[in-house]
Amino acid sequence: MSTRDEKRRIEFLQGTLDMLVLRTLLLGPAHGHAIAHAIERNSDEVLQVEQGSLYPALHRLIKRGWIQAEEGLSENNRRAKFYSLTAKGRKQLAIENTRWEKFAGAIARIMRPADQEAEP
Amino acid sequence: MRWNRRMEEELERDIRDHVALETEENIARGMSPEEARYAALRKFGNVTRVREDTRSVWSWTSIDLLCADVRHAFRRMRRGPGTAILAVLSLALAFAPSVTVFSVMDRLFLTPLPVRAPREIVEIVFRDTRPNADHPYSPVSYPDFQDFRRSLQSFSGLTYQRGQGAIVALNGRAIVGVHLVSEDYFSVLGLPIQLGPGFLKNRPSLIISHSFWMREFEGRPDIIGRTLLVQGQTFTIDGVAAPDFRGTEKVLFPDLWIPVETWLQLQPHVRALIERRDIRDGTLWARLRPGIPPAQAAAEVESVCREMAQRWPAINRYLAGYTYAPLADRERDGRTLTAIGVLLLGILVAVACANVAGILLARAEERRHETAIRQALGASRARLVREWMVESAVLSSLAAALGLAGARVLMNRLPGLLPAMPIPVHFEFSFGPRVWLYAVSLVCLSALSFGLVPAWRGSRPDLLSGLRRDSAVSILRVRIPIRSLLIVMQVAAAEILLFGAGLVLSTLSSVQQLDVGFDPRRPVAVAMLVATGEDGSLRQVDCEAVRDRLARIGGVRRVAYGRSVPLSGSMGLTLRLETPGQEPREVLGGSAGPAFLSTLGVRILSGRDLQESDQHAVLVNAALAHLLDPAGSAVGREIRLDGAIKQVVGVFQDAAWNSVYDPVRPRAIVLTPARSGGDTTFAVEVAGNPGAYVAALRHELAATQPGSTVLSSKTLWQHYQDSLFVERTATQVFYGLGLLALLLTVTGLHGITTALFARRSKEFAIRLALGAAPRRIMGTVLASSLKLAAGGLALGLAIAFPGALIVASKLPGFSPWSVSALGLSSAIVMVAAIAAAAQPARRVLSIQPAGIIRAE
Repeated sequence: MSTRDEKRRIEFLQGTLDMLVLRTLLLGPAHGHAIAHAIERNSDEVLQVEQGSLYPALHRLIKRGWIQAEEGLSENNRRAKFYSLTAKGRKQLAIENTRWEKFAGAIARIMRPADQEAEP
Repeated sequence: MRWNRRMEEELERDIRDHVALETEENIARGMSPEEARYAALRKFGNVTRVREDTRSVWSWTSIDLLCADVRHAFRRMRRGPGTAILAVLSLALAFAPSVTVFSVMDRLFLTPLPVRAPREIVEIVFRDTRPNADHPYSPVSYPDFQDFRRSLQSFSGLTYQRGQGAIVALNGRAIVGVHLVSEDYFSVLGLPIQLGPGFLKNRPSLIISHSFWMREFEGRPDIIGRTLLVQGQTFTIDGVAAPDFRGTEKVLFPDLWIPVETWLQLQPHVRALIERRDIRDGTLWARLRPGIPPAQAAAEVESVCREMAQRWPAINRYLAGYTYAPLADRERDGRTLTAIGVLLLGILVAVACANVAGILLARAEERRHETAIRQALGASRARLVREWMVESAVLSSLAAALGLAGARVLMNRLPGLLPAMPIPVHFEFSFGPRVWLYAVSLVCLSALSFGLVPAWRGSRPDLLSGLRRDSAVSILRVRIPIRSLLIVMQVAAAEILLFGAGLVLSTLSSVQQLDVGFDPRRPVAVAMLVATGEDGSLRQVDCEAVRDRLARIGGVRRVAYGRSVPLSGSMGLTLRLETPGQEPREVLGGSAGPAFLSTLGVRILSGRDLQESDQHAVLVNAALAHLLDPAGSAVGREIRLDGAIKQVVGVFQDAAWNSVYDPVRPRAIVLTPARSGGDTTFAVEVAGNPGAYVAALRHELAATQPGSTVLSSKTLWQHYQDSLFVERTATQVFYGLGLLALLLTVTGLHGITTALFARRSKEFAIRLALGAAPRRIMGTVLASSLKLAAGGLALGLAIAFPGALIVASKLPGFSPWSVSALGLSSAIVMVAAIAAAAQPARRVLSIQPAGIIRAE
């Protein structure tokens, strides 16, 4: 049944999505739609998130205390919920960043052997 | 923070805003509004799934979800209240008796005596070596015990115990159970004492039971050292037994333990009874010395018995010793009986569970469409399974609450079902830890067992046929044959039990036709008087004065006194009968006042009843008369009873003195002295309804002497009915179980007919559309259910008849050939089956062929 595969995929993506959200919020508070768009834009439309899955991620982050939500006015003057990073979230982002860089570095070394690394 | 309604609303708004913004952007990109909205929704994904996932982020939400599921379960039940009630009731009806029976078993079989090292305890009894002995095994007398204690070396200690009643002066007087015991009883058996030092040697000392302490002294700790008047003698309370020690017997729970030596000193009149070697009514438990093998101890007991036989040839000649381990035996038997009981109760509960599973399966079938829609909307299978399981748990919990309440009521009623006993029995059943464990595991296991299958099958992803309402693919499939078999067995069980109940009932009525030797329908009321002083000491009673006093009650025609009424559950003393030319033999004895037997309606076959001043006369029963003189009449003969010469003045009809099933044994009855101690039974013959005199009789007897105690005042008919307590209880139990089985069967049949109907409803619709008569289709549904019922009935009778024949061979007065029992039980079962199947079958009439077929 597809439920199980789906679950695995979501678990795999969860960490990444969380990091992307934190990363986006580093630039300042934003509402859900804006975050989704920012992720899409910043990844040059490569990461096509099913927009809905953003919301469970946001709530997960709120629960962990990494972000907080407050009421605000959106660009077209509508009441909306704005999400912003907390101090804890900043620290977490730093940790995630380091981890990601390590991970990416490791991938890079495998994909690109050392002799090529010297090249500019 | 936790998930709540506000957060839910906010999420809703977030989603709405999100989609709105996306739509606006899409419009700005040049899409039409409708197109824009669809694109936005597509991009957003499954809203329900998002909602669920967000909700499940909050760990608390599992509780929220559970609450929602419970609410949902209740809503679903409300939609089909009939089936829900049926399910809860049938489970509760299986739970209540199971828990009750288990608590009784727990009390009787599983609660061990708090005896130290129980495997070292050995009981010593006598074995009669004669081939046709009346009593193959007999307990010991106090002199026997003293002999054993002097001689036996294999044991580190020997204890003696004799049960009796005694009158205690508390607030008013009460008769309580007493165990007279050897003074080292508690230390030899290693019984814990809750409070106090235990028996002291320098004063009359007694130990009270924990239950007595709680009942009479509210558990006050300052009770130790206080005095208690027991039959006029002052005793000091020197101990309270541990709460889990209520004596070594299963039914009589003593409230007092008194050293037998102290009792003999303070109540000299009992010496004649307790110090008689041939009245054997004591229990001897001994503790093996460490390292002594039981076989060696048994051999020593045998050799001591041989010595005793030589020393007391007249009474011990045929008695050999026999030893066994009472506590180890009891523990083993208890475990076996409990295992059997739990298994039988398990079958009962399993039947109920199978029924409920059937009901739920039928419902799953009905809900396939709904389930398919929900699956299409993104409900995961785990979610659906959980919903089903929650529904099962809710059903099970409701049933458990109802069942436990029922068990409570049953447990409270149990002691009341016992007939009034001369010594009150404080029989308490309670929910101990084992009973709770049993009840909880029963509920959980049953919820699992009847919940899992419908949950699994009901949540199976089956979108296509589910949405199409395609009944050709049924989730019921293989369940039908197993369930059919179950139904057949249930009907069989109900038939067996109801048939059994009918047979027991007809046996009861035939037992009531049995000649018990007296006439229980005579307008007579009886009561037992124990003449005691204010301090509870035993007094003599002037029977003639009491008789004259009772005779003055208006409406009383005749008053008589004697020792005991037939069917009192006691054999009476054994007397030694010596006749010239015959070997001495033992006969049963008894005593009766003038005209006592005639008052009770015992027929005098020849000669006359006893009269006043008949000091040297004796009445014999027909069996003894035949023994004395097989040819002619025994009247006028002289016999020697326990050394005294008596003349036979009359022969009376053999009466059942102990119970209706007693074999008739030779019995001699002498005159009750006009002034005597102990207990005396008064019988008053009245004009009219004797029930109206019971209270007056009690009142008058109590007033004869200040401080007198009246035990069991009732009519002769009540007395007779009480003696048939076991038979009446058996009838009630059989009927109760039979009705229970019937109810479960009705549930099961109802369930299977509903399932059958649900599975074939499309076929029926088509047939109706093609012009079939609804009645005909109804007939088809009914017939398939009734076939099962008929099969069960046949199976039941096939088992019940041979069973009844076997019982009949063991039980006199029991006959399996009762047409009314057969007809009635079969009729009840068939009517119930028809009623159970008719309701679902009637749904044929409400089929809308057009609707069902259009759904294709």
